[in-house]
Amino acid sequence: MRCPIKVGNEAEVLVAYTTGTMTPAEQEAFELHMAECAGCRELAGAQKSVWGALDLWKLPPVSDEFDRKLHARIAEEARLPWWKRQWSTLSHLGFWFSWKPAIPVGVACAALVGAFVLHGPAMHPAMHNVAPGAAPAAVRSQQDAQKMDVDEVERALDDMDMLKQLDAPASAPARAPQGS
Amino acid sequence: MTALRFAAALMLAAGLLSVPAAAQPPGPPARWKQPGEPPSPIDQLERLRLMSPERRERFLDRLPPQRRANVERHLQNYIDMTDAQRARLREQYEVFRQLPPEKQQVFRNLFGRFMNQPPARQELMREEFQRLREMTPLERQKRLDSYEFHYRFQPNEREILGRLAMLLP
Repeated sequence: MRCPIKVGNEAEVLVAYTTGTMTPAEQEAFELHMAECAGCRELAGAQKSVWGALDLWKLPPVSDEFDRKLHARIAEEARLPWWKRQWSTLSHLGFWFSWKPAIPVGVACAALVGAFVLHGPAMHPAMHNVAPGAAPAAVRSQQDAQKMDVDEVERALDDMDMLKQLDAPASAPARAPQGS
Repeated sequence: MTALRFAAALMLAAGLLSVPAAAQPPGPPARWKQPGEPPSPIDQLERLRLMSPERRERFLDRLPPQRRANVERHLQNYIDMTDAQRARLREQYEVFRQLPPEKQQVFRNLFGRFMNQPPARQELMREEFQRLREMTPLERQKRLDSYEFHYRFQPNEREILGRLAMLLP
């Protein structure tokens, strides 16, 4: 495998590696390459440490007073007229803060959809022929099977067997020279 | 934490995807396949290796019995290799695949002639081919012209090795 840092696609390869979207062959090639390339190893290590740090982030413990204050507040709000309760819900900052964790996810999804629409691959013509309601996995599997060419696989295996035989390590010590 | 990770990964992916083509560094084409591009033989072979035995059976059913037996034998050899052996073989195959079809055929024909040599001579030739493979083109030519090479190999062996070496990158 050519070094992704030298090729210039290290970010792409690293994202594919950490998110597990590489094919097994690509992953294996990258791991073998990392064993020899300090730069790639360092990059992968840095990425792992970021993910590790996210794992270590602990939320502060809930105070003992929390339950009591919460129940008091619920009781207080229950005494208000219904329209005031609705308005309070909508206008209260807490309403918006409760959605806070979802906001980055939503923005990221929107960005991803936008990027895909602008730069993503065009839909494969075969996809248009898929029966409505067919499961995506089944469609993929059907396409995979269609795309696999048994003759090509056979030829590749024959050629690889040939290369393997030329590459096989010597099983016996070298014979004495035989002149012409 | 999961949501944060998910968001971080999505944003990173979106950022990468939305980089304009002009801003990307020059170099070989992107690793991602173009739409409609068929999978390479290596990808197909890897899928076959990782398939469930039932699906593999169904796929191999398309072949007549003799060819099927041949494919099954080669496939089993491939599956039985270690990861490192498979990676090395895949690399060699990719180099071979870069050759134009007519040169690939020349290589196959030379291999056929190599296989017709007695086993002891095959082993000696194999060692020599390994050595030639590790050399630069200049070193290779020097080796082919060397007295030692002429002393060790008969004319037909020299021809096979020399022509195979010419096909190496």
